[in-house]
Amino acid sequence: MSEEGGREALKLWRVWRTTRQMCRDRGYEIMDNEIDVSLDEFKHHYCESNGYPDRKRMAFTLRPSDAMMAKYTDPPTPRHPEPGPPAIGTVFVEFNGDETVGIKQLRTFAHYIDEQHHYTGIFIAAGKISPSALKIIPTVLPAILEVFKEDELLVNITMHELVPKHVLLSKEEKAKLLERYRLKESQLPRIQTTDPVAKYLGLRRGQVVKIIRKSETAGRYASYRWAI
Amino acid sequence: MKPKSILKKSTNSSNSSSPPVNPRDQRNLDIALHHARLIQQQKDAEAQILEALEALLELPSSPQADPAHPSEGDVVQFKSLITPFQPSDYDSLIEERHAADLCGYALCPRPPKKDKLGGKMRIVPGSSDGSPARIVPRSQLEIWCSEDCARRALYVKVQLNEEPAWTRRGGLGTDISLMVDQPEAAHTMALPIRSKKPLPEDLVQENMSQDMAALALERGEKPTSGNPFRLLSSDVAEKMSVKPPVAPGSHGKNDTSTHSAIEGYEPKTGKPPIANHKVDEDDDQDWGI
Ligand SMILES: [Zn+2]
Repeated sequence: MSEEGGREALKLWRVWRTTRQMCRDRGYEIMDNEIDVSLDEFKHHYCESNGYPDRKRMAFTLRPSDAMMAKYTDPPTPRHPEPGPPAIGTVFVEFNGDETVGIKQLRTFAHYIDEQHHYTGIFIAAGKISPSALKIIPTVLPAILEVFKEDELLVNITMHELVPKHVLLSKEEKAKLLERYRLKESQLPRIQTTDPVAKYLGLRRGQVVKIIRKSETAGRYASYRWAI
Repeated sequence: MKPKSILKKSTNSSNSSSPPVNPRDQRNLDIALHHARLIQQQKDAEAQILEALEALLELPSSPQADPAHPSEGDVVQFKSLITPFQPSDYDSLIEERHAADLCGYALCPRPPKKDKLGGKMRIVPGSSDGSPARIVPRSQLEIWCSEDCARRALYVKVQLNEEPAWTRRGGLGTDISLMVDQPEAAHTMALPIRSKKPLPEDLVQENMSQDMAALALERGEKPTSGNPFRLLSSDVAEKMSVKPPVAPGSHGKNDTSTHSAIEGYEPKTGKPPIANHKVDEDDDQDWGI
């Protein structure tokens, strides 16, 4: 087994674990023992005899938990007593080892997501991603495409002690918050959807996150951000 | 009945939605609409370019296509798709084709050349048409299947309009010509330069002798030694009769010195072939390889 292959396996093991933690934190159904897989076990499942990991085998699909679906469902209103279907569904995660990811690769991926009726597709690239490829993301709506580079997922940023906890509010919670403080959503401070934590949580425009910080003087305090 | 306003009456009528619109509001509305339309035009143009870029990833239509002799249909499609491009869009196209493992020239079906040797730089040997050897980054070579395709692609790039498509007036731009349209150009590195008029003949002569004098000075040549300056001086002009005079800017059929063109103009001072050769040698030394 080559040393280089071993290094590659170690790197991808980390990326793969962070990706699964990210899915868990968003609310998809996954058990902790399906995340905390040892390196040896990972190699056993995903590496070839030469020691190199096979990215194609690492792809996975997850379903949203009941709690996640509730969060993405419109609250019933007097005019619409029957809420519509939740704005969330299965997620498909693929790892791509190409040197450069262009339009071609992302189109193929988007096509697969559409064909399999997944709600969200997460594409994790080993190489660089061309600027034009990113431009096709809005053209494949309503399918949601998210693109990450492996390097972004080597460590889980949300586990860093300086990163406060971000919690997505449901539509109902958001409505209550605005009502309580007599605010319009546009009056809230903002968070960009390209912010690393926003990206980690897959925030969409218009959603509100609650940010919980610990303070030595004030204990815990919360603030809210509107995703743009 | 409308609730009575407790605010002071402003000079602007507060119910601006009612028919007789304040002229200032109307102008502001017009300006806002004008800008909105411009932004929309830009968005449309960008969407169109992205679509064209994707279509160009599907060219050529046949995997057996020959980039030196593309099919009629492919040429028409290529030209119409490429017209709204700026040079930067063209770079994106090359990048996308590379990501799709295709030669950067959109009419070529071959994969880009890859060599397994490491290293960052490569030496490209000079070719028979007089282009000198060059040292280029390996990543730049691995975009094309061959040096020929690199030239064909560059030939198109220099013709692209640098103005964004949504601000171009009077149509999208000029017709793009391919290297195959001009067979003699395929053997030289001369590139079609957009919209440069050739200088009048006598002005060129004057500039030329000035430039050659400056060059001789820079090289530390004495005016008396056998040098290009002297060879290009007026007494050589007598030998113009060796060739029939050619209009400035147009290419002579058997002309091989197109690489020496200056901004699209080729100096034609009737240099005897041997002098021509001498100049070439000096040029080579100038690169200091
Ligand atoms: Zn080619």
